[in-house]
Amino acid sequence: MSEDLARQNLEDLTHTYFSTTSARQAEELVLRDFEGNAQWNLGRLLRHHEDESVGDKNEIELRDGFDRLLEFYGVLEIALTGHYVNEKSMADRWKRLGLVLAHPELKAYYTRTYPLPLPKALRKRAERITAPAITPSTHSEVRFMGYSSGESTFLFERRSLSSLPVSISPSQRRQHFALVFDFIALDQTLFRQLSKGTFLKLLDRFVLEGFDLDSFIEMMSNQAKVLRLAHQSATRGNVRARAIREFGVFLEFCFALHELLYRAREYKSLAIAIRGQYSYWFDAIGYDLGKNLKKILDSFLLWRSERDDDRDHVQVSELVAESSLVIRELIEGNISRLERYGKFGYARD
Amino acid sequence: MEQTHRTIRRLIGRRPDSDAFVIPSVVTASKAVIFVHGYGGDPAKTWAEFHGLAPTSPDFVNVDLYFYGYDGLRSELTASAGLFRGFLRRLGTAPGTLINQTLPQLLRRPSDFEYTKIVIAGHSLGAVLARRALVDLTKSGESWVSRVSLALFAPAHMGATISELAKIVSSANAIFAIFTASAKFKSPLISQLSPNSAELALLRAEVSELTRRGNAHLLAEKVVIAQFENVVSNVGFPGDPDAYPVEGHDHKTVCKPTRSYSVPLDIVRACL
Repeated sequence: MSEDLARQNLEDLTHTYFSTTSARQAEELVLRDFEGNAQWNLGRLLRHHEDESVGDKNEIELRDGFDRLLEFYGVLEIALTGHYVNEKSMADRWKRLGLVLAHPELKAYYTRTYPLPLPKALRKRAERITAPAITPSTHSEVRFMGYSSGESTFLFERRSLSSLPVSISPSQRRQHFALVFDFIALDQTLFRQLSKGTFLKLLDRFVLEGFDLDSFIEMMSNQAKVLRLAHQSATRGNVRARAIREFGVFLEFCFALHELLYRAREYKSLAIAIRGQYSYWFDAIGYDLGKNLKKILDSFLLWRSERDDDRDHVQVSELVAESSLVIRELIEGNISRLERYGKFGYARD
Repeated sequence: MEQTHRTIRRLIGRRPDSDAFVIPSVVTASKAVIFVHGYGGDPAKTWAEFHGLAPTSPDFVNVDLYFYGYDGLRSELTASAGLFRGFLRRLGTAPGTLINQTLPQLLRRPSDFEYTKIVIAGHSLGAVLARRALVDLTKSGESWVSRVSLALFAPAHMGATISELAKIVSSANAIFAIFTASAKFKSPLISQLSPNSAELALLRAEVSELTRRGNAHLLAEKVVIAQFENVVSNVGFPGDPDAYPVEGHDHKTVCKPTRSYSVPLDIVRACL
């Protein structure tokens, strides 16, 4: 890839994930803090929600900006790993990136409060690039540590950066490009719908209009009510209708991510990075997420089809089992091949 | 392989239930393809494999790929076609105002750039929507519409089977679909797409009249139908070319290219 194209890709990703989002404002807050011109106490703003609940509208918006900023850094790390941009194309950015990512309160936010592997990996890159000299062996170790995340275990084969090819063949480049393209498509379409919506907030233990995850799980036992709500408009429906609709989108997202990670299995660093972008869901709260989604999925086993036909029950059981498997493997980071990708429509037929 | 396209991005200013996306060419494109999904479809899901396959094909190098979204479950046909008409008009007359919003300053197109060719790939209801919009634009005397071609997949313009339509519209989630197979889904489309609907009859009459006056762009350039079709009628639209029947595919899969099924890509490519 030409340097010119690498720079264009960097500009483009920056436009999509930074310049046109609230990430820019979050970065400004960090830089002002460095200048001694702080508008907010970032230590308090970036607290764990269980230490002190977050209900103030301004705080919610600002914290969302920091999440967008970390999301942007995650996309950069994926793009670097997938050779969609390169370190040289970011030459004029490393110093600033390193500075922002090393800010003590922000660093605590993505390393301890809500551990995320990709901003950590990007910071290590920035440190290596802006440091005077570093040995290759340290480099590979730094990279590996960059992907470890709290107490969770990655079951992918662990691989250091030094074992990656320095230059890749045209065929590998094509594969990397396709995977990065498909990751962005997944992120910009399905995940973007979810991140602005209701269901992920419920999974994250928000209470919306008096409705929470436990109420959602309880509601799923009422087949007639759920089906009625499922047919309401996405924009006009109430919080329950939106949550039901988005639960379907979330399953589609899980299947599509699973399929993408399976296709990326030959390029483990890239697969790990892509999964790392959703680490909050599958690592940080992965245990609870798996437990709660299983409860939701199991409720379908008690539903009755209008025909009350055995074939319908078998089909439902298969879909529930397959969905449970996909979610479990995403949480474990151990992706196997499924027989029927595309059951939920998103992935390949 | 040199990179031919940028990654997918959402077009700004659209409603959340009617997202539209674009995959811009890395060069200032001279052609565009607009993908329009069908009943209960989705701009990302219906055409999923086009996202990855088209940008790797040399024939799509100068082509911007748009994925148009609308509420294909609840919205009324004429209104949906009207909204699409507005989108198509922007693409036909001032595409820079649409695509440049999604690009950083450095990569923006000249404000006066135009497409010399626009192909609408419509699936099912999307085919009806596209032709309805094109008819209305033609009636209003807009000359640029002669640059538009239609590539239609399992088009619903000769009517759809209502019970199967109900299944499709309720299958936003595969599990829900099992429980709502015969759902009495309240959608105006159910009557508007019945084989003897007033809307479809009017469309046929207007196309017939306008094509007699030389508006050949209102006829499809290519039509593809599925062997295992049980949702729409496979009877040809008057004046359209003979449909290309695809073996082993059904209503939902006929428009989705895969590594081993290239017909949808070939059809769109042939229209460019």
